[in-house]
Amino acid sequence: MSGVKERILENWLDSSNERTFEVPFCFMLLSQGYTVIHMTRHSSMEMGKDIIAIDPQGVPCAFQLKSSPSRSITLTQWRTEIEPQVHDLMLGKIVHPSFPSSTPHRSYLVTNRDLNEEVQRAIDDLNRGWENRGHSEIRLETIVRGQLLKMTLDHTPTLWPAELADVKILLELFLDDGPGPLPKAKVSHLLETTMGLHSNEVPSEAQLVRTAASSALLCALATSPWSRAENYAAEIEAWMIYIAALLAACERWGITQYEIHNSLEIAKNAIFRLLGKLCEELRTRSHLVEGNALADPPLLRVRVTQLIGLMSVYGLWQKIHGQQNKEHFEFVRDFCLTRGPQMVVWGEGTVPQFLAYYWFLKEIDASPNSDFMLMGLLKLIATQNGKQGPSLADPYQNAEDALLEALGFSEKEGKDSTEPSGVSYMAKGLLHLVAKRNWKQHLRGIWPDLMFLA
Amino acid sequence: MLPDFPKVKEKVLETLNKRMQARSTPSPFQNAKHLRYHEGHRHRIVRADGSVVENEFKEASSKITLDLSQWDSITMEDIIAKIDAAAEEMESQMARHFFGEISKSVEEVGNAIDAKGKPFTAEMYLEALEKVQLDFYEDGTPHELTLVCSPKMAPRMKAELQRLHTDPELARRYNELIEQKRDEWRERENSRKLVG
Repeated sequence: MSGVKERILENWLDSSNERTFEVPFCFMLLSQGYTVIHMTRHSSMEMGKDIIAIDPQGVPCAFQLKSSPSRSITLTQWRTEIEPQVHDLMLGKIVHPSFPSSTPHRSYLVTNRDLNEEVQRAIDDLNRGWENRGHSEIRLETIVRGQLLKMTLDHTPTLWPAELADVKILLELFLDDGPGPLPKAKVSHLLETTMGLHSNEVPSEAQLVRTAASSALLCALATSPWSRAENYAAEIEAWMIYIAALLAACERWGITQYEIHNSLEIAKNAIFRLLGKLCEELRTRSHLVEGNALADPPLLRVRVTQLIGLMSVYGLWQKIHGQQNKEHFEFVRDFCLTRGPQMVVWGEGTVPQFLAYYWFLKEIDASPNSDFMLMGLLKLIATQNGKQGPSLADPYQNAEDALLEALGFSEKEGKDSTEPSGVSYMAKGLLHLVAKRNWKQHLRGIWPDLMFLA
Repeated sequence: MLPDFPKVKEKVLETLNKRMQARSTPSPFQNAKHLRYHEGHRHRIVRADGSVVENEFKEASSKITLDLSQWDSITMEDIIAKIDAAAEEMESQMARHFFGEISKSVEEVGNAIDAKGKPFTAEMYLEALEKVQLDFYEDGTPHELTLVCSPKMAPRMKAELQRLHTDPELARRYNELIEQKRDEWRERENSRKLVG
């Protein structure tokens, strides 16, 4: 089994690019006792530093991550692309509230490729040049493919799934093509298992902290096909599942979130950056069609609903935390206001997407439109699930399965969805929200249908 | 990439493909035996009389253009209309090719009848039937034949074919001809070499 593990990790590392191995690398640093204090947003302020961390001895470290389409970094790539950034990395001061800007830092070039001999020589010349000028503290250190692979292997000794069924799940995920939705149940099962949520063995605090970092690597590994396909929405879901499993583990074993703060922050940061990537893609697109356009019309509004949900989260995040990329924020606002009316309720699983939009709309539109949208959603659930049918797909059903069923393609023999189910998972929460907004009079109109719901 | 739903798309495309296939095959040939070639660029037919015809494959194609900038207003009905239009175009290409090939073969074996501009008659039909090899079901009833004509000619054809049953002389000639074809079929069946 260990041979398989090494092959998979090697394959993953070789097929990664600097974007897809950045987050796992942060978690590797965490497991080695580093504290990650910053991950890149690729702005000009970062001066060649993708990751800033404090090593176990308290020394600030700056990392520049590089990959290459070829097996190794060539002299041409070094001279044209890497060397100018390396100068910034080594000489630019780390500006961060965690330490004074005069504190000297260690600089690392990290690559999942090898370095050509000429590049090794160039780095050696660079370091000797600074040493000869009396600045031996200015030095570029490297972490290359072999070291990264060793770090990865050291990082996952106990985490590799022990049960064959779990190995099968990991392999199925790892060998997927990645263009479709994330198989959330599989990812969730894998992470819950590795975090010990299916076991009665109580982990120590230190064990859970280590597991938090190692599970993140497993998450990145299992979902790498979606990362390679730049399926940002699926990647966001994977990190959300990771956060949920981590919080569940803390709650179950009575460990405070403070202990796993760094893991949580890296995962949240990863999500924020993915939202930014998604926003960037939307900005450059002239249409929202994905894949084969001939079969796209019944799926467009489902996609729009998911995108509005995600972009609303991104907009809210920027607004609340002040991490404003002004151009992105303006785009998100326009996108949501223009596309909002195209949202569709394919099942109760869309309610969180509508809620994200509802809260964002409240921030950007002073009119009661957001409340009316919420009431419309509640009325729809009450009518379809409570009175006349067809019932909406329950929130445990994903969009793809719900659509297959709605379009008559499902091979599963399910319950008769033409009848009202009399059950709603979301109506009560929505009802409280509407009532809190003081729309009690309007609620009276929906109340008779709501009475049918359990 | 944006969120996509490949499983649903696969099913939708499967349905569209079936529709395209059904509508692009000219109706007289829909029930004909089909043989799918997975490779090669020529095909060979060995006829009952031992003659061999070799032909190259002929491509039938059609283009569907989708304007993605107008996508918000596109419905599945619009897509189906485009599929149907493309299928119709392919059907017309295939029909032209099939009938062209049939005419060529019929001329070659001397089965063509020149009506010399005269309108279609039941007698002409009997003359054509005489030249055709007719197969029968096990219970002895003849395989159905398909007549292809222009819509304008259809009423006359129907009326003339009706005469085959109402005119006693024509009915007698028709029944005799069918009986003769049945005998020929029996003879063919008896002399058929069974494989293995």
